[in-house]
Parts: sequence; structure tokens; C-alpha cells
Amino acid sequence: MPTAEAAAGAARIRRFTPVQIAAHLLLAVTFLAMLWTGACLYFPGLAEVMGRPLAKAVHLWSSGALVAGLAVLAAARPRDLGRVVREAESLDRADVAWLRGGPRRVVDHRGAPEQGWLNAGQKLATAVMLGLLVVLYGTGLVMWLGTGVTWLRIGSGAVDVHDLATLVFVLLLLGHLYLALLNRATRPALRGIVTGEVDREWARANHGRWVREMEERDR
Amino acid sequence: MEQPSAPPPEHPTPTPRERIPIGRAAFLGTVALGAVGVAALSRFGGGVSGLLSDASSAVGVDGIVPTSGWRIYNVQDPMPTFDAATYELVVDGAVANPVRLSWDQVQATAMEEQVCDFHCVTGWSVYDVTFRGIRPQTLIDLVQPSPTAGHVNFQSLEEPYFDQLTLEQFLLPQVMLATEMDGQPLTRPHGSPMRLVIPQMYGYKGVKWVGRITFEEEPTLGYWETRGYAADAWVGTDAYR
Repeated sequence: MPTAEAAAGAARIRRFTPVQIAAHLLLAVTFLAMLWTGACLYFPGLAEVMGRPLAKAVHLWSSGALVAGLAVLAAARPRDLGRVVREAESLDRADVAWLRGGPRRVVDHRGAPEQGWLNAGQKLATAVMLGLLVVLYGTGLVMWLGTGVTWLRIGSGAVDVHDLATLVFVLLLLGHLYLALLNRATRPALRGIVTGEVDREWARANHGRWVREMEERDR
Repeated sequence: MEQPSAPPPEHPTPTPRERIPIGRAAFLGTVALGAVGVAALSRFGGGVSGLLSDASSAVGVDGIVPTSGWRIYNVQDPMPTFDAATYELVVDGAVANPVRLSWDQVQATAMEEQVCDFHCVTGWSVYDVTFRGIRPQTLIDLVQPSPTAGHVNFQSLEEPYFDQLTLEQFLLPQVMLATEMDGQPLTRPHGSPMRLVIPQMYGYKGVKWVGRITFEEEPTLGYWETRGYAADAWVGTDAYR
């Protein structure tokens, strides 16, 4: 086990496990596939790009691949994905104080209360995105099975909610991409979801309590 | 004299780790909102696709991705390609005068224009669509169906899609074989060069890429009707058997 000094001195600190990285990559790839094929099904201008039967098949298989892949990853390392759920499901006082900083806090963490592994914004975004995925799967199932199962044909609600949930998810995704790729204060986090490790000093400034706990644990 | 207060600790006291289940509430709230939305929009009619298309018009992105509320359905790829030089509209079956009309002859046929709504059985609608096309009576006058011909089949160039109306349904007001939509020739996704329009029924009855119209004596189930949908797809009914 590394000494505290060595641990504290390392330039990087491990933030995500390989299973967490794989789950994120799986979600990104399958969601973008579903978004693109969904757009081909939704916009008449894209109707001829892939054709409906192929677009529908890719859309459905991607949705299945995401569920199956997450199930495999969760079975392999239950604690890795469980940690994401556990972190996202509740906030502490520092998180609430962080949120009081308003929307500005999301792009600029200066002066923010010390945060853990995930900050309050990340927790809420994760919780809402997971909720939207449940909504998208539920409404998608109704739309898919509704062509063959009479009692599932319940009118326009499933179609409308599927569209609206996609719209909200895409808005959150655009914000997520802005913070990950463009925003100077937050983009060092990108390294974490690619390699697993983030810059220790950046982490200390942005996720101070987590870094402190990690260093105390290693002491 | 008061005792001096204790010196401040070297490290700030960590914030007590209360766990307030706001994340769980956000998750469950999102799911609940979705469920309520499905129920409410199913109950009170959607119009959300219309709202979204209005919104995209308002911000000017409909030029890039023209939504106009339509979603395109086809059952075989690729969609049929219309070639004016080779297209023929065949009208035959139990008729005295079967015809094969070239595209020029189709265009020379008397046409009318109308504004009507379009409703898809899956829940979305497009309102105030302008169609121009041939009235059923014009076709009937041309081919003169036998008195026993009580049904009309519409065969799509998109095999194996077809559907059928009763002669009575075919003669309802506002039924037409449209060649133009909103002032433009039908585009390929909308069924060029000709689609059936019957605003009283859901869109799956409105066969696109019409290539052959056959007057029949016997009823036949259409493409979706063999998959559990109603032959009489009146808008406002659930249209499911």
C-alpha cells in the first residue's frame, strides 16, 4: 500500500473503475445510436437515410444491448455500479449548500462547499437521466409492443412522452458535453471517464472531501 | 472574566454526512412525471408533436429538419422510386373498362383540392393539410365497376402493403387519390406519386405509392388488418380488433 506522502504526491488519483468507464461508454454508444435512429424515424427529412425497418431494428437492438450490457457489468462488479446509484440517490448538507450557489455553480466551482466523489449537480443530473431512461424504456416498450398487443395501445401519451423525454435528455446531454469538453473549470474531469484517473489538484479543488477521504484511507 | 473560547480546530469540522434523499426523489419524480404524462396525454389527446413542430418552426430549425408533425412509416426498404416515364396506374378488377394510365394521363385527369387533418393510429396528428388529387367518382365514371363490386383494393408499389375500403367508404366526402400535398408534388416519403387520402380513418388506410386499384366483390384484410388492426379504422375509435 502506498504511503500517505506517496499517495498525496502522485499527480493523479483514480476516480472511476474500468467497469464504471465501460458502463459510461456503453451508455454513450447505445444512446447515440438510439438518438440517431430515433431521429431517422422521427424526422421526415431523414426518413430515407437508413430506411424505417433498419432504423427501427438498430433502435431496438441498441436498447437491448444497453440493458444486457449493464446487467453483465452489474453482475461482474455489483459494487462499482452500486456506488453510482448510492452516491446519486442522496445529498448531504454540503451538496445542498452547493446547489444554493445557483446555476452558475455548475460551470464555476470557485468558493463552492467541499464536495464528494460526485458534486450535487452531478448527482441530480445522474438521478434525472436515470429516471428519463426508465421513462424512455417504458414508453418505448408500449410503442413497440403496442403494434401487437391490443391492451397496450393507449393512445398518443406514450409517443408524446417518449419525444419529450428524449428532448429533455438531449438538453442534459448537451450541457454534459459542454462541461466535459469545453468548460475550462470542469473539463479536466474528462480524463477520468476515459482513463479512470484525474489530476489530483484539480480533484482537490473540485471534489475536496473525496480526495481527503481517499488520502486518509491510504494513510 | 470569560474564559477564552477554544482555539479553532486545525481543520474545519467536516460537514455532518446527513443523507437527504433528493436524488432518489428526483429519480422517482422523473419516472412519476413520465407515467402521469403518458396517462394525461393519452386521455386528453396529444398535440405535443404539433407543439414541437410549431416550436421548431419558431426557432427556424424546421428548414434543416422539416418536422411539420409528420412521421414517415414504411414497411420495406428502399421506398418505391417514382419515374414519370415508366409509372402506370392500373385500375382493374370487376369493372367494365379497365385502364392503365400513364403519368401524363393521371395528371390530365380532373383534380380537386381540399384541406383536411391527418391522424395516425399511434397517436400523432397533422392538422390543415392541403391535398390535391383525383376524386373517387371520377375514377368510377372512368372504369364503371360492376354492380357487384363492393370493395376497392389499393395496392402499394411498396410490396406487400395494400389496403381495402368498401365502395361506400371510397365514396365518402374528402376521399381522394392525392398527387400533391401542401402545394407540392408528393415527396417519396409521403408516397409519390400518389397516395390514398381518407381523413375519416387512421393513416394506415391511406395507402402510399399507389400503383394499382382493383374493384373486388369480396372483402380482404389489408396489411395492418392481418396484424390485428381494424378494417374500419374510424378516427376516434380505438381501431383495434
